[in-house]
Amino acid sequence: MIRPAVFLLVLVAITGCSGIKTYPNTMDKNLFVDLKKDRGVRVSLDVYDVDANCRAGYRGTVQLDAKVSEVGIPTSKWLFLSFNFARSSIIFGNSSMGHGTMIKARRGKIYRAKAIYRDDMYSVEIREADSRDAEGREMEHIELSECKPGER
Amino acid sequence: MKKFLLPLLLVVVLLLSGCGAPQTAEEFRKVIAPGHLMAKVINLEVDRPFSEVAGSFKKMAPQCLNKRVETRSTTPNRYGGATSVVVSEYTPTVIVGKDKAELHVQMKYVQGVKSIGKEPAAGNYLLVADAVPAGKNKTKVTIYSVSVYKRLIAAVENWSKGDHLCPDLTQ
Repeated sequence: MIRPAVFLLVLVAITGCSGIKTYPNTMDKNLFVDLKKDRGVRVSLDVYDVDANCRAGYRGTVQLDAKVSEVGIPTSKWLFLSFNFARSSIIFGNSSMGHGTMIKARRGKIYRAKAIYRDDMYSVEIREADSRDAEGREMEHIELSECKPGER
Repeated sequence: MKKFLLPLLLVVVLLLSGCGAPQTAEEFRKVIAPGHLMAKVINLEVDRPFSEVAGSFKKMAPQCLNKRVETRSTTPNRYGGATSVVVSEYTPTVIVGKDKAELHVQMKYVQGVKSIGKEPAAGNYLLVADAVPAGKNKTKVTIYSVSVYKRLIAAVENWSKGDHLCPDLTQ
C-alpha cells in the first residue's frame, strides 16, 4: 500500500508540481537578454500568449543564467513577457519581483532586452532593431491590464 | 521578520498622526513633518525641466509600482516549518497640473496582515512626492515618506533625476 504512495511522491518530485514548465526554446532566436545582476539573484523569463480576449496563456519559463541568453519568441502575435527577479534569504524568506510587458515581435527584427538587478533596484528595457549591432528603438511598456479585448 | 516590520511601520504612522491613518495625501504630508520619528522629508533640486520630471513620474510609477507583491516566509518548527504568505497591493497615483506634479503611493494588505484602523480605499499612504518648476530647466522635488521605505524613496529620487530603476518592493 505504501509503495504506490511513495511512487507517486517520487513522480511528483520528478515531474515538478510547481506549475513552472520549461519554455520550448526551439524557434529562431530573436530575443537576446543582456543580464546584469547581484549575486544570489535568480532571473527568469515567463512567456505568455495573449489572445484576442486579453487572456494570457502560459507557454513556459526560461531560466536566464548566462550573461546573454538567446530566446526564440513567436512573431506577429501578442505576447506577455514577464521578467522575474527572485531572491532567498533566511530573514525575508523567498521573494520574487516580476516586471512584465506586452510585445508583438515582428518577423525579421531582433529584440534586445537589458535586464538589471542591482542593490534592490531593477530595470528592464527592450529595444527593437534590424540587427544585433543596431541601436534600434525602445519598445513601449504595455501592461497586460492595458489590453482591451478585440483591439489586439 | 518583514511581515512584522511593515505592520509596525503602519502603527508608527498611525501614532504619528495622533488619531488614525492619514486619509488623504495632504494629511500624509502634515503627518510626515520634519522631526517626527522615522519621518523622512527630502528636498532636492534637479537640473531637468518640470515637464520631464512630471513625465518620468507618469512613465515610471505605473510600471514600477502598480504591483501585487507576495512574500512567503517560513518559520522553523518541530514539524519542519510554518509558511506564512503576505500579499500587498501597491497603487501609484500621478496628478500632473500646470505648475505641480504629485505622486502618491499607497499600499493595501490583501492577505496575511490585518489592517488596523480606518484606511483609505487604496490603502495607507507610503509616500507622497511633489514636483514644482524652479526656474528654467530646474525642478524642485519634495518627497514625504517613512525612512524604512528607503528603496521607494531612492527610486523616486532617481526618477526625478532621469534614471529608470524600479524598487524591489519585496525587500
